[in-house]
Amino acid sequence: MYQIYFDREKKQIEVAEGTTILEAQRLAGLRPDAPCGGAGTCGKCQVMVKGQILRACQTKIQEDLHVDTAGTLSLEKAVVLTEGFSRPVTFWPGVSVHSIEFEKTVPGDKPSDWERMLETLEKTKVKDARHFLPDPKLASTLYERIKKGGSWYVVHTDHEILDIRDHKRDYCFAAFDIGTTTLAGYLLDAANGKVLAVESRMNPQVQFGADVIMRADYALACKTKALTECIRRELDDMIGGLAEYAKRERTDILQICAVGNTCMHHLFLGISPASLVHAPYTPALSQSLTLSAENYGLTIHPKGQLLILPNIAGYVGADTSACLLAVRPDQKEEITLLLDIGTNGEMVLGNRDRLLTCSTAAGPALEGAKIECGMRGTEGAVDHVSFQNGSWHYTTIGNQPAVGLCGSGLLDLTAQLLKNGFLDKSGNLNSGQKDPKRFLLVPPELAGNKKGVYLTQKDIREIQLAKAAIAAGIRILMKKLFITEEDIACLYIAGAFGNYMNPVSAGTIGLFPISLVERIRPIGNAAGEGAKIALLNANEWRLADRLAESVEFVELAILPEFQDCFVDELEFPGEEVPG
Amino acid sequence: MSMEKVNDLVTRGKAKLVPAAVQEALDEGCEAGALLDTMIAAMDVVGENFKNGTIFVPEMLIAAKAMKKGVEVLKPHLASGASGALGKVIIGTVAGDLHDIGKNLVAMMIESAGFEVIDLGVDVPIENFLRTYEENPDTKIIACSALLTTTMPALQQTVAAINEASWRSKVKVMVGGAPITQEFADTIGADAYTPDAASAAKKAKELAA
Repeated sequence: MYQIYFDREKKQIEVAEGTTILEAQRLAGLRPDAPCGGAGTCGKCQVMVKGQILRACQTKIQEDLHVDTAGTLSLEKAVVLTEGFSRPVTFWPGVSVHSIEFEKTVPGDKPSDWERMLETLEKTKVKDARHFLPDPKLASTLYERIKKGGSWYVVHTDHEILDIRDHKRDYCFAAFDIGTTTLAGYLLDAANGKVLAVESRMNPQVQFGADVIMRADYALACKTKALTECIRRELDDMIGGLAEYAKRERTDILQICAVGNTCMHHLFLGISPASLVHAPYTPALSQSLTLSAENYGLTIHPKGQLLILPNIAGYVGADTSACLLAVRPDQKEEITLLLDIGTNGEMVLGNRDRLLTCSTAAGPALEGAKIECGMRGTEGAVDHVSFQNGSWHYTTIGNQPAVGLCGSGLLDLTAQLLKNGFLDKSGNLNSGQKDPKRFLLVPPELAGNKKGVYLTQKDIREIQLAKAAIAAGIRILMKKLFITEEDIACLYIAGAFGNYMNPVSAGTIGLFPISLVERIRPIGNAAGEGAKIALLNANEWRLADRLAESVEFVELAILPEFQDCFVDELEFPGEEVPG
Repeated sequence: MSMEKVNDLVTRGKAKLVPAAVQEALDEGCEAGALLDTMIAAMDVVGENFKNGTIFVPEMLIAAKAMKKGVEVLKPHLASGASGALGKVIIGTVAGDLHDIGKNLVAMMIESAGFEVIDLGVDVPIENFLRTYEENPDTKIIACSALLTTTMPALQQTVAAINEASWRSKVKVMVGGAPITQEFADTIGADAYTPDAASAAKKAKELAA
């Protein structure tokens, strides 16, 4: 056994010989960023040991070490999108609080105290209260209450009583969007639906790999349990944080609604993702769920419920169901395209007559992975780039010296290179600089790192692959609906990347048809919004299953025309130069 | 002139322009076989550029599509068998895996190199590989691909089944896909592994020689 000292974090841990530094970081609870899951390919987990920069995942421990994690991305400082636009919904939650009082029991009354309470409830306000499930624990409190008399409060859903109280409490709800990369949590007031607190964090599962396939790999190789516990613990911790911020008690949270893509959904519920990563790629479980929160590691009200929105298909998850609730394209006459750009680009196209969905493997390039100077949206990331009067301008997150390009900056830079003739339609880069196959945006002397910030020909090719996947998905769905881009009245863009990116840049590189730029509506964290809506309106929650079922799933992988379409979309938009 | 134009258009991946150029060359009296050769030569250059790192997957895909478009125009003019002179190759993505873009690229490169390709598609059960070989006992190579780490076991099982077959010595087994390594290929008993489509075509030629 060796001692590893993380001086910067003031943490120390004992590990067995041969453990990697990355593993030691995980064990010490440091949450290292390891987008490639420790395969040694991304180089993002560099640490400093004895004056040398090493990849933590490739360095096996053979002695006591002092490890300096400076230079590694901390997962704590990232910019996470928690804002969403709200579709107005009637406040009609699935949990209500009613005050009741009833006369003392007199001899000869036949029904039990429990039944009398339900009868009183039904007589006064609550439909079908007579059929509520009996609860021995709550029933045992009735004798004292009735003896005391007066009024008390009953907290109930449409089929059970959650709590009986002497005084009204300030109950709340919590909504969670479990993203592959980021988590967003919202605490809502159960009396009026107002947002009391918002918190976002990086998904701690990132230490097991950046994308869903790597997580699934880890789950299949090392059991799902580690990933499940990791995410449950984090959400439970977020609940604590949200409650503390809002000065509420976590035990006053009555309902939680959580959404995520199918892999996040399965891992959170403790379901093996095996079926998701083997053809024909189906979820193990899709329908919506009402569960007891305490069975899933979430400490809230003892009878608190955990609502899970339904999955739609193997790679179209509960997060897309939530986006549907946030937009409700099924109610619209006009045709809308809902696009959630992440590692997988999920989309829903159609209107009230017919809705189609598909998922495209865009890969993590647009989020900065696989790009030589790519990075997440953290401090020092170039987030916007423009080219005016022959000179380049850029901004960085936090106004820090530039250290890399995040998705939105990458998109801007590519679009500007294309528009100004440094990049041709087929993606050939001619930067006009010393190395024509490399475009240096920020020279080393102005950058916050040693190498500067640049874009290579290979990076451009990665961007082409990512954009082609999404663009081809849109094109195929349009074809299946027999419509053209002119028929799309509105393009809703969900997700963090979609909200930070400049839509004109996205259209310029052909991520979607350029004509749609004028019809874009960014809708922020629509998945989080949908989760909130499910809590705030019981009808919307009940409708979710039917909505998810009504959406037709198009499996691109089995469509022969997909590859053709994909290859066509690899090129950037523009006129064909006669050869 | 027309021949050079076809060669150039394929190299540059101008799929939309290739068919017309091939037709034009045919009209001018160029021989179909020679046109095919020039396109194969163009793809060789593309493959070489890919290996050298001067071009990447998108350009390979685009060039392969251009080649395919050209061959479509050429096909009626080719003597039968001319385009598959090097022998048959059975190719497919293993069971549980629906990814085919990489596999298709390999198929196109191998076809461009002069083989007749029997493409079994994706999610191919082991029995299909075996049955197809038994129906085509003159097959030179069986090539299997797996894109996800989660389907590497299926690749292993597929190769193991082929290794058990009585005809194993008459055929070569090639494997590939993003997570596959030479080490893995050796462990599961495949004859060859190549990291990309261009080197796959080259290797196939070597193995069939």
